[in-house]
Amino acid sequence: MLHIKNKDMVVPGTFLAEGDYIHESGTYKEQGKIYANVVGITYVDRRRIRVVSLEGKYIPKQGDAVIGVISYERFNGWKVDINSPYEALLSDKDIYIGRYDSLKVGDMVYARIVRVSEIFETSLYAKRPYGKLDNGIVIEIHSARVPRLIGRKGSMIKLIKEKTGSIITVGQNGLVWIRGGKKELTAKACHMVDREAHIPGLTDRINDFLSR
Amino acid sequence: MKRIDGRDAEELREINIEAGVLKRADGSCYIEWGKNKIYAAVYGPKQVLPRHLERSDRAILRCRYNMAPFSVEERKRPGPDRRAVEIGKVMQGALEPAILMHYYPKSMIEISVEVLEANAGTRCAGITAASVALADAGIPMRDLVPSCASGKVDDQIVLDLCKEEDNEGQADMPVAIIPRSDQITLLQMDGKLTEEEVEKAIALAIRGCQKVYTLQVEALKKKYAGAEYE
Repeated sequence: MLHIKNKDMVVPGTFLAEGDYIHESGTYKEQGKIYANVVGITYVDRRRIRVVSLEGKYIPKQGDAVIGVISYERFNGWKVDINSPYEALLSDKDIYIGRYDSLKVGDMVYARIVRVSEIFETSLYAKRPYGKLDNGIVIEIHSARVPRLIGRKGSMIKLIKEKTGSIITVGQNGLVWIRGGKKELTAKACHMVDREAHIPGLTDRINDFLSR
Repeated sequence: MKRIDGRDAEELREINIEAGVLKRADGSCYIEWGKNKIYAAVYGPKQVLPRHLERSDRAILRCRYNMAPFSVEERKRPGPDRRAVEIGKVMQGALEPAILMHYYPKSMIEISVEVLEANAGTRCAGITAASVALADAGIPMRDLVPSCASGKVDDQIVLDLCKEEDNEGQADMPVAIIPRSDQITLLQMDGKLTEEEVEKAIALAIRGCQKVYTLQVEALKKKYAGAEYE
């Protein structure tokens, strides 16, 4: 028995469904009943139910590409702040540093998460095509709105790239690396996506903004 | 019989809740409950400081309750006092059962409740606002936590005491619940009530909480009115 419609707005504790349903992220089950546990939009796909949160911090997930800041130097690697409650580890064998280059506290890296343990001990891999960021600017948006910035099949990010001529790399953790082209304009567009992520007709508004 | 401020025995004061009002907090809420004016801010989940409080199987919750010096008639000396520490503690106890703490091991969620104007029932309004702020921060919870007080004034059990009733009344009993499972997460009392009166007061406070709950849901839905997602 489904108690909500697809794409309904729900709050924590909203009764979603009962019986033969599979509950996924943003929901929990108690005594055979499925409830929402975050504020968000419901997605019902046949028997699967999930709630996509509109807020929240980034939680590391295996396979995600992220952008982080080196926060601490160790004898065999670095601790990396990935804009999350949990710090990640980058071993010195998992990144290529040129002979005349170095990686110090405050430097930024683009890396892939290769492993996340039960208690969120996170390890990174940053060899090609990943690595140290050496040009351009980095801005921050809410990690929950990264899918919106990328858009359906990359439509939003493609639009911004075309209009500004920038190269954009989006970390799943909400850090966005912009280089080349009109960097300031790109940054403004990204912040606009972040701010207005939940208002319909966003792509058109971004298009208007960038064509001005 | 009408009360001192013209309300019925089972009538709440006017409540306005607004979610997402502070830019730099991860989640926030502003509540106006009668003459109470309160901000709640949520930060986290984030790294635990001080480190020794860290729990490897779940998050920890820290609550701070603070009254502004100008929030009451006689200037309050700034800084935490016995009462503020106690309210912070009971707020933590009231909210924690509703939060899915095991989702974020080794992390910390911080709640800060700032009372700008106080007029009785600040802990209830604080818990109500803090729980909206938690939802606004995207923290997974079993349910929202509404809170409301009942008490005894002029030998009558009434809902949601105002300042005059609280000061001159016979008893005051703040209650917080998890509406979905009908669990009580906060129950305090000062004053004197008979056994039957206690039961009557709890039942009345729970009805009050349920009204507050609908306002919390409304406030959250209002923030994302017309929301759409890919």
